[in-house]
Amino acid sequence: MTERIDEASLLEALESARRALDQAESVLAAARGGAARGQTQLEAVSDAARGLGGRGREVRASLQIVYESLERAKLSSLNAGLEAGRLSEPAGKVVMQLAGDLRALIAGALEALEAHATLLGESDRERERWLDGVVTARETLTAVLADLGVLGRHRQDMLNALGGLERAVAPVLGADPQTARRLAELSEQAKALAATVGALTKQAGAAGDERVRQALSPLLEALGAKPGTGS
Amino acid sequence: MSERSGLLVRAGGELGFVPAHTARSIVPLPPMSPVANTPLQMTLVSGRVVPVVALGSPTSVLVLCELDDEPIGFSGLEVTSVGTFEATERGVLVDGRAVPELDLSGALRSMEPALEPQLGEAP
Repeated sequence: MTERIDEASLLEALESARRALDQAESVLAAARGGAARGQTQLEAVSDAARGLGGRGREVRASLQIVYESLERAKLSSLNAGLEAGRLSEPAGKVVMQLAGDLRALIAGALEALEAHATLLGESDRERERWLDGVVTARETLTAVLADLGVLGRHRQDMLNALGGLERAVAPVLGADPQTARRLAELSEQAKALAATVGALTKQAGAAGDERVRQALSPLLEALGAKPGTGS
Repeated sequence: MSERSGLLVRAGGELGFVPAHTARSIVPLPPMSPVANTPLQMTLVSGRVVPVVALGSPTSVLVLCELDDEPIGFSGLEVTSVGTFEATERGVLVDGRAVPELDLSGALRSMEPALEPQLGEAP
């Protein structure tokens, strides 16, 4: 009986190892798929970031045109002020006031433009940091994919080793591991049958059951189960 | 209290005043051409050739003036404001601070010796 328990444990261990290796393959396949999708998504993010750089240059070019226009407008307002200075009262005062108001508005617009340019510069620097992060993430994913490849090879090695182990233990089990496992399952079912038969013989008025037990006895003993004990 | 209208300009870090009857206009700094053997430069403004005197490091504008009925440009000036200010003996008062009038005629006169033909040179 001890020898059978050892065989059962051995079979169970072999089955567990095979199941674990099968699960490992599923996990590895999922990880490879995830890493590949991640690389594709990072490529898309990287392309979008490069596109943003181009948009930033276009915005900067537009801001430069606006800046130059405002500088020209500022000169025009200064010239209007000069003309006003040469005019006599009261027209001169009015034009001077208008030119002053215009210069104040232009100064505000120039300040806002400077703020925009500063923000644009900051967003450019953030984009650069973002791109650096994307490059690092891509490198990490590439390393992860390489590690997954190594893991896959290790798994294949373990699968080969398990096959070798199963072939090595086949003489001990008296059959190949699959057949031995079926026999072990049959043995367990015979034990359950013996227990059921035992229970039946103990019931009052079951006179015919003793004959059933005796009829099944040789089969149950051959399968390693003592009738009526369930062991 | 008398008033004077004109430009406030910064030249070499110092604030100066240019009267409105002297300063005619302010234009974006055009391309300049040096005049050989003189400290002067020349440029074209609205189709007219105008001599230019540099009063400081180049800025983005040229102040066109009229001295003795002749147009002349001054570069190296940063225009900070235009307006009417309280007049003083030598210039104007801006926010309680005396700003002297720039001596543009004097600057031009100081260049005259350099403009005279040198011995041995072509007239």
